[in-house]
Amino acid sequence: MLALASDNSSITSARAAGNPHRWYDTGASGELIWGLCAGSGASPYQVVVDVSGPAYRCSCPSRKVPCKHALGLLLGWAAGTVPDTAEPADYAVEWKRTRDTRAPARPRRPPGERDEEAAAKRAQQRSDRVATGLVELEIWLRDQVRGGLSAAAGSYGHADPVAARMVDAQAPGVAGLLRRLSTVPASGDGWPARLLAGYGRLHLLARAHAQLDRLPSALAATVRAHVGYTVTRAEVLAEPAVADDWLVLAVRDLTDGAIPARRTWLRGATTGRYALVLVFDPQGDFGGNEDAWFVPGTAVRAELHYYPGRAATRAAVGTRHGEPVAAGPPDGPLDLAGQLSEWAAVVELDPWIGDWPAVLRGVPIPGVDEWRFADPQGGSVPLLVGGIDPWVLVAVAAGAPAVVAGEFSTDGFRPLTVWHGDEAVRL
Amino acid sequence: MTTYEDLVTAATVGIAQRPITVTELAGPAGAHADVLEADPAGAVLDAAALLDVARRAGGLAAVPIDRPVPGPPDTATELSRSAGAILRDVLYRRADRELAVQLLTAAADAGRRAPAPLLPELLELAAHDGSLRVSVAALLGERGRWLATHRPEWLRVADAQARPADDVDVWDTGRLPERLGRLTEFRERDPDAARDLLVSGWIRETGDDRVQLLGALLTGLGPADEPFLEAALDDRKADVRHRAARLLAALPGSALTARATDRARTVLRLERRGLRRRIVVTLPDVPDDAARRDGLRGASPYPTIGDRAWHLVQVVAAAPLSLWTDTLGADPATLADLEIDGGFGAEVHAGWRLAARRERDGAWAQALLGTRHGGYRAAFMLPDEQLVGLLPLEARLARATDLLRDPRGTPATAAAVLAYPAPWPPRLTDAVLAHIAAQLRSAEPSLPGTLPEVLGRSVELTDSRDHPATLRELADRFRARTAAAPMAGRWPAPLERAADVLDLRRRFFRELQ
Repeated sequence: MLALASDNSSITSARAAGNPHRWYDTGASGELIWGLCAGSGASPYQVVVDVSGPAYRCSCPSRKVPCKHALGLLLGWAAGTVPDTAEPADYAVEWKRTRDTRAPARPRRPPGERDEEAAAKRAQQRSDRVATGLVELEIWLRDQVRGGLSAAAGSYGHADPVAARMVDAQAPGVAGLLRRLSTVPASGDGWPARLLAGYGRLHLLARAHAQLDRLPSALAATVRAHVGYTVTRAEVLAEPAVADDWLVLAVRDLTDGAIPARRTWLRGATTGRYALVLVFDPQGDFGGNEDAWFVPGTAVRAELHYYPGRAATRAAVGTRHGEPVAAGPPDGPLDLAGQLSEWAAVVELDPWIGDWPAVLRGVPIPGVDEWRFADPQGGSVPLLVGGIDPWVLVAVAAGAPAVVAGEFSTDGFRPLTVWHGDEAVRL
Repeated sequence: MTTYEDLVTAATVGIAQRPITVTELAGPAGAHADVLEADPAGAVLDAAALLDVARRAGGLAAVPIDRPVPGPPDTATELSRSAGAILRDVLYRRADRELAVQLLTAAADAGRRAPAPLLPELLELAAHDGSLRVSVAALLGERGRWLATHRPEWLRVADAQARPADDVDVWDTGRLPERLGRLTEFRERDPDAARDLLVSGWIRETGDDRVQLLGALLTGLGPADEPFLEAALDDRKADVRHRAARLLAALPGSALTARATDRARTVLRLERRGLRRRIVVTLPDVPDDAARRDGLRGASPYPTIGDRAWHLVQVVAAAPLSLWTDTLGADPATLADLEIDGGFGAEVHAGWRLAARRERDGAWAQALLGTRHGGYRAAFMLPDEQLVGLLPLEARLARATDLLRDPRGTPATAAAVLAYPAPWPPRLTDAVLAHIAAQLRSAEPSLPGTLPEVLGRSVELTDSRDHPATLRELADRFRARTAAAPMAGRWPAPLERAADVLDLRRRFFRELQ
């Protein structure tokens, strides 16, 4: 059995991990052996071994397969300390099912298909890793709801360890959501409601991921995008091209994240479709990438390739035709009623979506505690003025409705560009 | 019916302590209640997700609000986009306030107004930098003045141009700058009534306010102000006394001037020895109480000047300059060139310099600048550039071109050039360019100082010769000399900047056509 170990140190560790005092809720049923092992972290590792493969699954961060916990469980099983049980644990069943559906026992790979096979294997490993991570996330989320959100009151960073674990589990999107939730308990009145909403969204994402294979492909792609699966540029460029004259609506630099990012919002003159071009640059100067050079108020003829998903806006720029040209303000700015119904439709397509581009006609209303944005019908929503100079918007509008492009979300409208006549003014 | 609030309440405490059974859900989430998990914690998370999505999709509503009052329409033409870009460049990248003031003023004179997107930045800059305030205020237009009403610190900028409100409330309840503006404006119209207004509340003003308000009497100063100023010489606050003394000294024929004349009369006299004439000094007494009342200070504020020498400076400075031409019987140029006995040349010249500034006397200024007597020790108390400003323009031009002929650049050269206001006539431009060319040929060029910078800012725009090309060529030639004369290496960058500024000014003014 110890021949399964990848090296001798694993065996030594496995003997230590096999110490029965560290194990509980162990069981064996048919081909499956499972158990919880107290590790160095707060929550125990979930370990499952499928002896038919053999295949292993452990929620520890180790990259070794099998890890010391899996080997330790096998040692315990061999030593007869693992009781036979009729009903396997839920997590063991869940893992076995995803394995069976996604990784049918493969015949030896024919020569020549090695790369594809290897890629498929890597993809499978990743999705296994993510699935494992999300099972842990689910346990953690339920613990929070059982034990009470108030335990995190006033703290900063309570979800960071879980976020780190999600990074290990190759679910960086989930990790990012968790890191943002880490700040919520210190965010003032009403934080439990905001925290629970975030937990609910994560739970929804984990549930969706668990049944990824049964989702329609666009929705599955949306789920994968939010979990943080990477899609290579080559894969995106293989998607059908959308040729149009793309008006540059707005540019926003996000410099507070781990890697500074530049978001550029475009809209097709003919298709009317929104597109988001994202550029990451660790240095934050965005100098070397042509995709970071879009100037609001110009239009460029180009072929865009959208990332798969529902309510998808993110796109890669394929072939460009000619230089950017000056363009006037965007056509058909919406009023708030139109924007709100568009937003509702978008959330229905993608419940995890953070924000959505908007071209509105309205006037800013300065306020001490809160700025608002009013449309010509007299309705208003909060105006999000963090990180911009809202007074430029006030000066350009001068109390009368102006055409403004920005980002829309449940929190309100974040203005990024205002048109002063034909001139696009970046806020 | 389980609401989102029920879920939050239970989850905050923890459903282990406060179990909750999720039943029906409100709103659109209700249709999906069948997907709820059996596990109570899972069910809470499911329900939270459903209700949250419903809230996100439909929770934000357009709340009715009173729309703001639109700004008044602007009749003036807005500056072009490229002119706005030049202004932004000058204000931020170059941070050249003097050039900015020049461009802002020119734009306002051309009947333009600031581009709307630039208004907040202009107001913000001018709110924190008084040197920009008037020129920014002139360029605001209706829209800018409307925008300024949104923030008190911006409103002060907009008010920099407006006439002070003719409103007694400002005087009774306003803050000091507003009251000072109101008093100054009132002095322009009716000096006596304005002074009476000040006198009526004088004893109730605080010491600091008295100092500031008294300064407003310089506007429209006349003999009728003397009794009040004379009384202010006995004020409790020293700064009030000193300011009153300065005002009285500026009032010809005042009793204070007469007393100062008496104190100075015996201090200087002319002595002839054969053909040579010189000025002999009798050191004045230590100031008595009456002299202190007239603003003379007891101890020297300068560590390098002793108390007796300091008294000499004060007594000479306080006396009217006519005393010397009358009693010594010579014109200012002759007096300034005379040798002064006892090594007191610097003190006497410093006193004369201060008196010339007070009396704004161009002839004395020219005389004092034209002599080598007095030297740097006199200039230490009142530098040349403060005197140059008293000269008539033609004299300033002559002085600058004279000094520029000396290829060794001195601080005095720069001061003389600076004293000539922009725009420069071609003669001055040529003299400066010739001076720079002489520096280039010099074995040891001096430091460029501010000369290239002032040149770029001051060349007359109707002077259409290709000065930028000349300046860039000079820069190249200085660069080529750097190995031979290291100081030459300090010239290219400021020369090129001057060329850029000149180009930029020309572009800006073309935009105003």
